[in-house]
Amino acid sequence: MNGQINTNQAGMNSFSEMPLLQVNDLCKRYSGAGSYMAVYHMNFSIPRGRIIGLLGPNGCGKSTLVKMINGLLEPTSGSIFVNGMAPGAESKRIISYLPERTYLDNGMKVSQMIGYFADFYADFSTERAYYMLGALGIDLNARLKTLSKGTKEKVQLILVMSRDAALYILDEPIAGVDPAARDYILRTIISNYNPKASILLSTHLISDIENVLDDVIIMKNGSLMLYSPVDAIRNDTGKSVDAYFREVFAC
Amino acid sequence: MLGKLMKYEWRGMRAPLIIMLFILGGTTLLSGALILMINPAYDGVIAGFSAMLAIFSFFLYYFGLIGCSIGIALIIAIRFYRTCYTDQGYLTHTLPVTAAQTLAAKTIVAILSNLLIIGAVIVSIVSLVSLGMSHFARIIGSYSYSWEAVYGMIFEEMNDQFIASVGMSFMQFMLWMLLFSVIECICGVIFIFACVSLGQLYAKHRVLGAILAYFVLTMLKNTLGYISIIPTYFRFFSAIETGAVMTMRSAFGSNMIISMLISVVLAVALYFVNLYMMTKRLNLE
Repeated sequence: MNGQINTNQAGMNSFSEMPLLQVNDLCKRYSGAGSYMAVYHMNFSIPRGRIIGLLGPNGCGKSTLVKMINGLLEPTSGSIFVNGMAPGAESKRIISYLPERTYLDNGMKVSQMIGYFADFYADFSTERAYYMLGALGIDLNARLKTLSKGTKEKVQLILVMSRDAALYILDEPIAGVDPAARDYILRTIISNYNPKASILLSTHLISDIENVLDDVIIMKNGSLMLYSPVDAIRNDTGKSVDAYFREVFAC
Repeated sequence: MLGKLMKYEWRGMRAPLIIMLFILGGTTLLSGALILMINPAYDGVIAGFSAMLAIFSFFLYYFGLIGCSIGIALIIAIRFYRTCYTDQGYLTHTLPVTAAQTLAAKTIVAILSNLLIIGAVIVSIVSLVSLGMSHFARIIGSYSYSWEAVYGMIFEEMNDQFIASVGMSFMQFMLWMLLFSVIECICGVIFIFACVSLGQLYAKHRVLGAILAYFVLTMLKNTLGYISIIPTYFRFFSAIETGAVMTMRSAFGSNMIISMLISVVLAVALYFVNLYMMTKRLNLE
C-alpha cells in the first residue's frame, strides 16, 4: 500500500441535512450450530447524491448488511436509519432494491410485472420501464419463465431503475450478464440516476464499475475496513480501486 | 395496500384453484354417470356389474374429496412458502407494506380459496345426492315425487330423528356444522402458514422443518382435544349408570364448542408466531 487512507472520510462530508442512510454500531450474529458474527460493529453514513461501491471478498458480510438495510434481516444489535426511519414499510417506499436473486414471479408476463411495480410503488415510472424494455428488445408479453436468466436480470434491473427512489441498493447487478449488456446496465444506472438519490452498488466486478463510483465501502470479516472517495484511493495509493482491492485481499 | 396485496395473491392462487375445481367437477360428473348406470332391475351379470359400479362410484368420489382436501392444503402451503421464503420472498418482503398486511392478505385469500373449495364440495355432494335420489325414485317407479316432496319427506323424517337423537333440528345441526367447518377452515389456513414459517427455523432443511412443525402442532392440537373430551366421557358413563337418556347435543355439544375454542385460541397464537417469524426471524437464502 503506497499511502494511508482515511477511513469513513466519504461519509463525513459536511452535509447539514440528515444522512440518507445511517448505520450505528450494527452487529449481526447468525445463531445455530455454526454461530458466527456476519457483521461486526459497523458504523457509517451515506449522504445523498453519491454512487457508492460496496466491496469485499466473499463472506465478508455485504449481503447481510444489505438485507438488514432492506428490512429482510433483523440486526442482533445496533440500528439502521433510512432517511431517519428504521427499516419498515416507510423506508421501503424510498429504497429500490435489486437483490442478487431473481425474485420475479415466473408465472407473470413482463407487462404484468410492470403493472405490479406501478401498483405498489408510487415513484415507479411505467413509461421509463417500457422505454428501457423496448431499447433492449424484451417482449412485454413474454412470460418470465420463458426468458433466459440474463434477460430476467435485465428486466429486474429495469424495474428497479424505473423508480424515482431516494436510495438504490443494487446487489451484483452485472454479474450474470454479457459484457455488452453490462455496458447497457451501467449506462442505465447512470442515466436514470437522480442527483438527490444515492446508489449503493455491491459487486465483485470492480473494474467494470469503478469509473461510475464516487465512493467505496470495503468490508472485511464483517467490519468496515475502508470508506473513502474513489479519487482519494487513487491519489493516495496511485492505484485503481480494482488494483488496490486485489492487493489488499491477495490470497 | 391490503386490497392490492389481495388482488395479486388471488391472481397467484387462481390457476391451481381452477384446476382443482375442474378435477372436482370431473369426479362429480364421472361419479354421476356411474350412478346413472346403476340399476338393480337388470338381470344376472348386469345387475352385479351395476352394484360394482355403485361401489366404484362411491370410492371414486370419496378419493376425489380426499384429493381436494389435500390439494387445497398443498396449494396454500406451497404458495405461501414460495412467495415468502424462496427467492420471491425478496420481492414480497421489500414491498412498501407491513408484515402484518402481507400476512393478512395471504390469510384472507387462502381462507376464501379454502371456502370456495368447501362450497364446491357441498354443491357437488348435493348434486350427486339429488341425482342419486332422482335416479332411484325413477327406478322404483316413483315418478310422481317432486323435488320439494322428496326433500320435504326426507327432511321431515330426518328432523324427527335428529331432534330425538341429536337434540336439535336437522337445520340447526347443519348450521352448526357449517359454522364449525368455517372456523376450522380459517384455523386450518393459519395452522398451515405457521407450519411453513416454523420450518424456516431449520435453515438447511426448510421443507422438512415445516413437515416436522406440522406433526408437532397436530400432536399438540390433538392432545388438547383429547383432554377436552375427558369430561364428556364422565358425563356419558354416568348417564349409562343412571340409565338417563342423553342426546348427542347434551353428550358432545360442549365438547364441540371447547374443541372449536381450542382451534381458535391456537390459531390466534399461531398467527402471532407467524408474524414474529416473518419479521424477527426472517432469513432468506
